[in-house]
Amino acid sequence: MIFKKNPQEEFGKIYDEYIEKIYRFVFLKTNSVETAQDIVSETFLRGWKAFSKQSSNGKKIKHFSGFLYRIAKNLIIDYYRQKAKVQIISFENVTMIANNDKNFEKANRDTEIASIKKVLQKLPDDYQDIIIWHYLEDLSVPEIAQIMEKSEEAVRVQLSRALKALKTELGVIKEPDSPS
Amino acid sequence: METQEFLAKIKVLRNIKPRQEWVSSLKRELFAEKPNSSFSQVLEVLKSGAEFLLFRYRGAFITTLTIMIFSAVVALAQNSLPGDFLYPVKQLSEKTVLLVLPSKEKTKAELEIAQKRLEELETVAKNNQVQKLAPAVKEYKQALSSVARKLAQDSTKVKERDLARTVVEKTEKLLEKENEVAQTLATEIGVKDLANAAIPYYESLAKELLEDLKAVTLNDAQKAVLEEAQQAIDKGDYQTALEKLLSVNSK
Repeated sequence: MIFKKNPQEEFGKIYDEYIEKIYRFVFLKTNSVETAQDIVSETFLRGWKAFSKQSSNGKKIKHFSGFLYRIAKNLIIDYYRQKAKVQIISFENVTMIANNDKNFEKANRDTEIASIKKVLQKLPDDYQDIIIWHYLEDLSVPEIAQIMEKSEEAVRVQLSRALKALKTELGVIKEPDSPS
Repeated sequence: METQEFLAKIKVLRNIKPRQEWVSSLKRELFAEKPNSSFSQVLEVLKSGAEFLLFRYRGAFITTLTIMIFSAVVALAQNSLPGDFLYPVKQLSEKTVLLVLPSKEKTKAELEIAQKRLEELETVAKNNQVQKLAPAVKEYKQALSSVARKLAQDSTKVKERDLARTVVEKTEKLLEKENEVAQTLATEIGVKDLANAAIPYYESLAKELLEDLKAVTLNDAQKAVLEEAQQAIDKGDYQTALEKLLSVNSK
């Protein structure tokens, strides 16, 4: 390579591509716009520092998107450790989502978002993550494996278990009757 | 709701988006300050450490700094010549040394200062620094006057053997050097000035040495030289008188 790429420009592209995804992920886990903004800010700040460092020392971080998700996930864990309680989602929180659509459509969408969120949040934390990444953000199994630092096989198994748990939650799989 | 239906509907969550203004402002903030490199981090640590030490020990720091600057200026001034900006500092440091010296040492120190002035004059003459010539001659004259005054005040002490020996040795060197400088200044205005400058000092010293030698036992040759020295003093030729008096011991 004759010309070295500008790290700021490179990271700017990563920022543009992942800011919404990371924000969405954090918001779904924290249910608070302010908290999501704080965590996402810190995530990208740490990401930018790491990115600049790798640009100067030449040690490239593989799969930077996975790296950002891992930072965000760790910050969420830290947040709950400090907070020691989960904020209950309220309809008001959901309606804070920016939307310029007509009120009727917005109300319908908000209701739908709230119901989906409600189901998701009943799942164990790891299952929530894997469903969000795979079905909402369309991340492939290898990409999720990078984020979770697990083998692809382990991710497939976890994804299967997550779907099973989701089905249970949705009432598709009926629990076997207890023997009388 | 079926699982597949749920998974299809989950995409609606993509409508969860951050405010665009916040996204833009975060990006601006992120790139406003570049993350620290390891070198700048080290600099930052050193800077904060220095700031802490400066704050904690600012009194001692200011004193040390003042002493260091003063010492540096004094050291730098030692190479200055008459007419230079730092020359007064050099003279001040010499005067300070004279103040703290015991009175017995002061005459010798004054002689050494006169020698320095002569060396300065020599440097000025050799380097053809015409502008500095007049101040250099003036300084040498003042130094010699000062030595003459000192000798007049401490006339009894001149008779002390070690001091007398030192004075004689230094005067001999001074005379030799003066001749060299006079040759260097042959085409300059300095020769006359130089001769006149030395007169009070030579007069004082010659008279003291003459009295001193009269009090000791001398051989005929020495007595003859003493007589010639006396005649030279009477004529006002103190340099010749001094040269003859200084040669008495070798007769």
